Amino acid sequence: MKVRRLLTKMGVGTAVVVLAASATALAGEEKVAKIGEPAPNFTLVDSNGQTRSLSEYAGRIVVLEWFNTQCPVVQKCYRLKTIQTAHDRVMDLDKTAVWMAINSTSSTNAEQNAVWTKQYKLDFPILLDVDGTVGHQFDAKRTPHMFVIDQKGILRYNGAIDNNAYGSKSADETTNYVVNAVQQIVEGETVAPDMVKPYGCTVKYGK
Amino acid sequence: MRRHSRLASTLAGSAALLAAGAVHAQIEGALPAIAAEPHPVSVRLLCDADLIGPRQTFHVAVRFDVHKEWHIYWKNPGEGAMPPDIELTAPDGYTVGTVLWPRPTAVTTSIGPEYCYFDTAVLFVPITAPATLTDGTATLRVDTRWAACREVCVLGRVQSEVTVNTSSRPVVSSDGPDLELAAFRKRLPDPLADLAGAAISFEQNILTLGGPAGGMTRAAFFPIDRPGITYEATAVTVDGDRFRVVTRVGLTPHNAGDEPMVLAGLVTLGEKPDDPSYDFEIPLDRDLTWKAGALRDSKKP
Repeated sequence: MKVRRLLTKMGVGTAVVVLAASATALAGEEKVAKIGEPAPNFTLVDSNGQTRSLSEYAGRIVVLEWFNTQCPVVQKCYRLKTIQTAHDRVMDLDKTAVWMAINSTSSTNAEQNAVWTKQYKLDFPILLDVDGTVGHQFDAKRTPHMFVIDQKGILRYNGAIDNNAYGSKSADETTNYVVNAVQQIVEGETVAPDMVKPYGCTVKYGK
Repeated sequence: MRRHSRLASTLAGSAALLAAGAVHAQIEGALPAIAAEPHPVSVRLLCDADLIGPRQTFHVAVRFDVHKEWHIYWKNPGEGAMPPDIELTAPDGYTVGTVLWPRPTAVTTSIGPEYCYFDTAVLFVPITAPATLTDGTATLRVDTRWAACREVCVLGRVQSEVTVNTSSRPVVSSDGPDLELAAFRKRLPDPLADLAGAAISFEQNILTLGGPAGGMTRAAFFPIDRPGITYEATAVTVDGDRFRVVTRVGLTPHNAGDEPMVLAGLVTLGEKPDDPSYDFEIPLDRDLTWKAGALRDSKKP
């Protein structure tokens, strides 16, 4: 079989502004997050300049959303309010839950994400992971790519936001796996499914 | 049965298809430079019958023409974006079957293989007419969505329709050649179950497939995503005139929910788009074993 090598490259015409984000892993640990195991701690700066660590949300359900303003699939999810609706439903299930978007695009910057936050009136932060450290810790492959961590810090879900990649399904036909996972965690049930292949653009890590 | 390829979309319709695709790219393009380009994919519909009779099965073919620097995806995109979505709406009484996908090309990327289509891909949708038809026409509406990727991806969508003539009486076959679609039909896989000399086993989570290589020296395995099923280390060899695929399968029933667990995939031989390929579906029993002989057949037109 003919095999072509295609390496991920940055988009044409992208203005590269590298923000010095601080991303630290637990000292000596670089393992990839796995279902049923503690999620790796991280510290990132959000688009408002505030530093946030996963560990400061211990005892709370945390939803992480891998994100890229330039991905048409992410754009579609926000345009159709897939993300916002899921966020609101998660908050309805558990008012103490935390939702954070993480942008591991190597060319991203605080301004891009701040503009997005304002445009969509988001009330959750977008964290900057320009060097991709946290993205690699979680093995985030797509945007969007979702992770749900329970109150004990255990990773319980990894994968797609839903089964409606193009937004073509009706509400009755659509399963939101993130809302499903949070509901099952709140009710003390096993999360199932706990892995669903995510759809969307590849995460645009640097070389 | 008379079979003629037919460009079902009118000229005005084709322009609308292309314009709709271009407009959609401008709305959903990832970067301004990309969004300003014409959409890299054009889509048109073909039908392999211009007259259908009661209970007749025919096919609507969705043809994707992809700009040379871009690609779209197979039903399992691998580490790629997402496969095309085809939603076909037929009049009452018609049965719409499962989309038939031609063999893809594997592309190695930094994060793993992507299963793609380059240049031209034609997907076939089988439709069966009801037992009773009147003399007239039937219109089928197709909503096609896709992701086309290069360094970045753009989304596309086209809504189109095809009209076929209907007969209240069975349509007698004739020898009309189906020129435009014949070449693309060759790219569809045959059922592995129909391949003489094929052997399949599934024991202790190891799936083994084998069969005659038909003179081909290369073989490849393309897994098909199913809930609760993951394919891990895979070895593909051609030895003598036999191909062999050995893959470890991960089973997570809780990820399948109420759906049956099915091992599914595609074996391709050779490198050309119309070289042989074989697909299979192996339904597992409740105890996650497989009883030899229980294979589902795909329906190649």
